[in-house]
Amino acid sequence: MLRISKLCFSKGAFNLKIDSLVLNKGDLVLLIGPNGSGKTSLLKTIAGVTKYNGKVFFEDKLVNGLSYKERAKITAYLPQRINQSEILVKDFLLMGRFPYTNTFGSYSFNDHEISKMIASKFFIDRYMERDLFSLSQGEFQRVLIAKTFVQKAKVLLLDEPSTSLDIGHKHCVKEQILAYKNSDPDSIVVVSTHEPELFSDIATGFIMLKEGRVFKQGLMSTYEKKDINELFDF
Amino acid sequence: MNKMFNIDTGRKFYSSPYFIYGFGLILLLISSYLCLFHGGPSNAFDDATMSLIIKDIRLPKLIASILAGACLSLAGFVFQAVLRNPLADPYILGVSSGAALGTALYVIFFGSLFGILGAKIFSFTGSITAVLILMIIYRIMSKNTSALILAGVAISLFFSSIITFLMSSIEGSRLLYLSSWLIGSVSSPDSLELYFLLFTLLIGLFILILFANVLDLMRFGDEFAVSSGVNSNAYMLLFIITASFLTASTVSICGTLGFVGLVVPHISKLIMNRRSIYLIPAVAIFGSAFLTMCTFIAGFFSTGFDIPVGAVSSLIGAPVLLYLLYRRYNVKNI
Repeated sequence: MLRISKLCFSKGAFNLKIDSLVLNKGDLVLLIGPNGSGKTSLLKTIAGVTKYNGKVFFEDKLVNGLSYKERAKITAYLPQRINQSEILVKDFLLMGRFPYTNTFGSYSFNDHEISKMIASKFFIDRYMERDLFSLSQGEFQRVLIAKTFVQKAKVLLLDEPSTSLDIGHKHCVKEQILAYKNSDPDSIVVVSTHEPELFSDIATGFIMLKEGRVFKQGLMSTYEKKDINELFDF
Repeated sequence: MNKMFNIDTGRKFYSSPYFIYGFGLILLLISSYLCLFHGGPSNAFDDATMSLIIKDIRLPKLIASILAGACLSLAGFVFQAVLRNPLADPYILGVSSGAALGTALYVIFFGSLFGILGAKIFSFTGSITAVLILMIIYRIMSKNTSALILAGVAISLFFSSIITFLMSSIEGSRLLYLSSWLIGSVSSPDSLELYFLLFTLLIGLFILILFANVLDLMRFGDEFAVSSGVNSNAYMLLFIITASFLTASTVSICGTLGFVGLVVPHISKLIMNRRSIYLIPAVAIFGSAFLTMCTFIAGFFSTGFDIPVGAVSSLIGAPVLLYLLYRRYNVKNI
């Protein structure tokens, strides 16, 4: 269970304030809201990528009190974009195992095996010897998502995983998330997206954000189109 | 999205790291041989004089080139990784000029260029000052790495002009020496200096190889590194201090050798697309080979007046920089 209490994050004029938010084991939650509503900020604060006030608990453990590596075992974050640098896909996937390494970050045989296993499971093993930035955008996104899977975190935070992909790759991403969910039913997955329809059949719940506040939260069965209209001020 | 390094590396026998290290070492051996035994225009000497020249002038020069080349290349490699900019290099970022200003101040105020510890401390303080200014600008400019390079150029020019002002206050042979050293020269280092440089290189290599996997994660940005479990700020400090230390001790002995730290990491990455732990030894070996080759070229074309090695490395490095800029800004979007 992931519990957020009295979270406050501000950046310039924007501020994100969430008094209380609870995500249960096995949840696959869609994070919906207009641009600038704080979706990315919320994911980043849970992932501990930005500084914030407030408390995030995972199973009664205070996440902000943990070491970087311990925290990375609990939360894995998929950024919208990463800095480009040349690396082979297999070496990139391996980096997902970093939280499990020793002080000097050396990967064990087991780490190699796990990243290979994830690669074959998600059908990216044929790119393994290619450079990350020679991939097409769809292939690239799949590798990026696979890297967060390799991290085997309890909470997956995916920031717009399907944006700017073609319809085929959108479904690939969806299948990938579903497959991960099936392999680890206890994990919590939060997907921020502008296409709730795409994930509506695999999601269990949703959170709507508006101007840095929770607008509505609920189970997917209570998801209504008119809320969307209100959320986006149609 | 930019496609800067569109390299499709198939696994072939020649992409094995050990093959590449071997290749680099052979290059280094060839250039070392040339550096020591090239005839040059001074063939008129008899054997005894020639062996004296080789032992007392060329050998220290060669050792200095090997060590300095490795140090600068590693520093460039680290700066490129942690600042996430393929154009970063101690020379362009102004770290070299900072170190040079420190050393120049020491020379002017304390006279001797060979006071080991004092000169090193001044040089290191200078480079750290440059890095500090750079990092403050980096934060202010909300981590924009292109702006960082421009800021580095500004810092570099600023420090260089201070050095020029300072140099007008001294005269004679010291001025000549200082001006030649500034462009980057490996002439006549004494053995204590070389031991110090070797010590720096070994420490630098040790730290970098130990934390090579962290360096890999840092290349993909703060957010990526932190969410993967890296204490980004702490490691950034460690890596930047290491790189500044490598730069400072090189500059205090060899002056500001331009572009070595830029060219060598890129060539190494073109040859082997691997994790840092494999790349770091390659960068060191190719750095040594590159600077040794530059020393040989400088020595080969010198007639009487010694051509500073820095002139040769910049002569080769500047076109490579232009090519990299071309690659970076003339890209097809996906």
